[in-house]
Amino acid sequence: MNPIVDKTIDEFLKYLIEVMPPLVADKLGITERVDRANAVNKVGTESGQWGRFSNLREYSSEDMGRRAQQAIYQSLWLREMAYRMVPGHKETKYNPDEFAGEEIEEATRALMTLLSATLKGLVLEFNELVSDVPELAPLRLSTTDVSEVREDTANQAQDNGSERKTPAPNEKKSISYLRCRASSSTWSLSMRGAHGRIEFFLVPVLEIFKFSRSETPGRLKSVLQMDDRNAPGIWSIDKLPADPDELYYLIRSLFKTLVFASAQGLKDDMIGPTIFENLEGAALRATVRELLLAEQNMAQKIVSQQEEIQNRIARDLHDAVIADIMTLKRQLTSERRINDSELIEGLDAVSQKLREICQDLAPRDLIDWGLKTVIADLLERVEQRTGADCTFECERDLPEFPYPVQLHVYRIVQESLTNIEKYAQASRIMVFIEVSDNIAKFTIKDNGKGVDVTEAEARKSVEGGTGQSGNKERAEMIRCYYPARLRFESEQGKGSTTTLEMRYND
Amino acid sequence: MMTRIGVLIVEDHQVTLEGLTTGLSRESDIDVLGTATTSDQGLEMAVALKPNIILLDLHLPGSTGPKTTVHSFCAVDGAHVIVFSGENRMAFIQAVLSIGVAGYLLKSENVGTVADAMRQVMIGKKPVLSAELVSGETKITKSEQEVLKMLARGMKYNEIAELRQASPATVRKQTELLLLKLGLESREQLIAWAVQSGYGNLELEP
Ligand SMILES: Nc1ncnc2c1ncn2[C@@H]1O[C@H](COP(=O)(O)OP(=O)(O)O)[C@@H](O)[C@H]1O
Ligand SMILES: [Mg+2]
Repeated sequence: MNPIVDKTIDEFLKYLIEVMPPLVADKLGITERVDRANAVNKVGTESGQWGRFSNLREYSSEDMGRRAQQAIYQSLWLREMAYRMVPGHKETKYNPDEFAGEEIEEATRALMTLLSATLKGLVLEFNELVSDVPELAPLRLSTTDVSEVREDTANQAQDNGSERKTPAPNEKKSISYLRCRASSSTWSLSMRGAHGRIEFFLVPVLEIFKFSRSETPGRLKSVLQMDDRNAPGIWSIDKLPADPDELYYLIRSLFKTLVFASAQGLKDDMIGPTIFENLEGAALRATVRELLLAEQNMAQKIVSQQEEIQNRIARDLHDAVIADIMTLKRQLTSERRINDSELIEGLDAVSQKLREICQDLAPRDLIDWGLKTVIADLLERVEQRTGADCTFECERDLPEFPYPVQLHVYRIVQESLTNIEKYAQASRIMVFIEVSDNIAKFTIKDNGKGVDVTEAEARKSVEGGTGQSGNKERAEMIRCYYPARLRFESEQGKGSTTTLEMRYND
Repeated sequence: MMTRIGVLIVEDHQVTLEGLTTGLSRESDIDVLGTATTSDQGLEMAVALKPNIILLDLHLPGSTGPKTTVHSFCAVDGAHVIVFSGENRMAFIQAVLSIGVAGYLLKSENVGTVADAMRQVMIGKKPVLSAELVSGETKITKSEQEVLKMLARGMKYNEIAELRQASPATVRKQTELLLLKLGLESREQLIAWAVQSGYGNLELEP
């Protein structure tokens, strides 16, 4: 295995995978998930790359885990793809002094494959082509290392070649190169790669059928170039060596803008300029800086979330448990010593509270009992605490959703009930779960004070309410699995209703 | 003439298991046919030993979850399942009861009570619950109170459901739970109890 290619791909994947939108895996049509589970787990643990995720919020371990897994599946797939395209790759021995010719070709293919895979949802074409030199004006090509030249093309190339200038008699006139084209309906991102150089063009979609003329120097937006003299195997962007961050963000900005824009059905004219600003040297660097900053903010957010969780545990333990135990201790040592049944009662209360804290941190019951029962229990608890008239309704058994889905649904219901408890002053609280035609609908409803939704939104942006946005994020995570919709409806004085709907497949 | 009761105990907590085994063996009409500490072992023994009663812990090592455990033991021919567990939250107990167990006893019960419960199951009483769970009026929730008021006024499930903006099935479930909590047998008894306890005179919530 060629370590540089391998490392480049690995670095790429590592970065790519970390923020891989779940969409990508689907776009890539990864189907052999189950078969690969074992191999995947092995990769995951060996590299230890996914450890980071375990510190995100609670759902990280689940969803990020899943995302990471999808990404690993994908990485395996990508690798395989990349390697499959390189005949005899695994036998290739890499020698840094000989990083030339075939290795460079190989690295180019690997990177092109990766690029095209990243953009796959939009890729119209990914081909290995044979062409004559003049068609590829900006592409710096050496015409001496051509591997496969088809007879007819070679002949044709010879003709074209002779038109251009007089070739040296023994020189081969055609080269093989890779072309990848990703398009929206108006813009096309055209990439071509050979020999340690990959060029990116932005071309109006109407012109793409005339590659040679449409890919003018003015439309060349960026170049990835492998420096085979000073630092073999290292890619540079616009002549500056690119570190994996930059390569990654290059891909990400390509990917994000193209796929996202298409998925969102945004105006096509928004696609072109945005991507290609990002691709150009200085702008790319700015983008990279921006994105890195965003990542740091993310890290900041994670840290403060962790702190918040720790604080909550500390507070719960302090308020609920330690206080109770101190009371018990006092009662045991006081003049009128409490009797055994009072002691047992006290201990029961403590263990109940401990159980609730544990339950809150890691809802073991959810695994044991499933959503329906656990939600029924949640509502019962609310009923005990508030004394409100609570109705739980779920006539059918729920299908067995993937655990992360269950967890998010549970948390959304929990947060909605917490809000009701905190703000609504409701006398009536209802939780309905309806299942029919592959749609599961969860409704949490109260008859309390209600809230002006727009006002709540506004206040939240000032005060930073976490519940509603947490719910939204969770709904977003559910969308990794099923199409889902979350709504919060409320009106001053008319109660509130939270509805979560998802369409599952059997 | 007392019928002899063959019992299989499935419990992974060693001390509890020993206590139950010695305690129950002392009862003249009870034979402890065997004991098991895992779900799989328990199921094998249940098939082989044909006990009348299986005393079953909810959380067993190696099982996929309490519901599945209870389901598989309830499927054993000719055996009544009595769950013996520390789990005292109603939602979970209801989930177990709906699977069709013959009884649900809390782990705080002493052996004598467990033996009595077995005898009751053998004479056809179902389901047998720990007294703590059937604590009568104290455990009645606000929404159950509303249902009781309506029952006491002679309203039907459908009418109650409509007023409560719930489905008739939900109202039926609630009344079933009320029967359990109050230790009553039938809807008629429940209505009579509600009237007697004065629910008919209480205002309905708007
Ligand atoms: N069921 C409800 N009834 C009345 N007001 C509510 C309800 N749910 C949410 N709200 C309002 O919406 C705001 C935002 O809620 P949330 O995002 O959970 O933030 P937080 O609970 O942290 O304040 C709350 O501050 C509250 O004023
Ligand atoms: Mg909240």
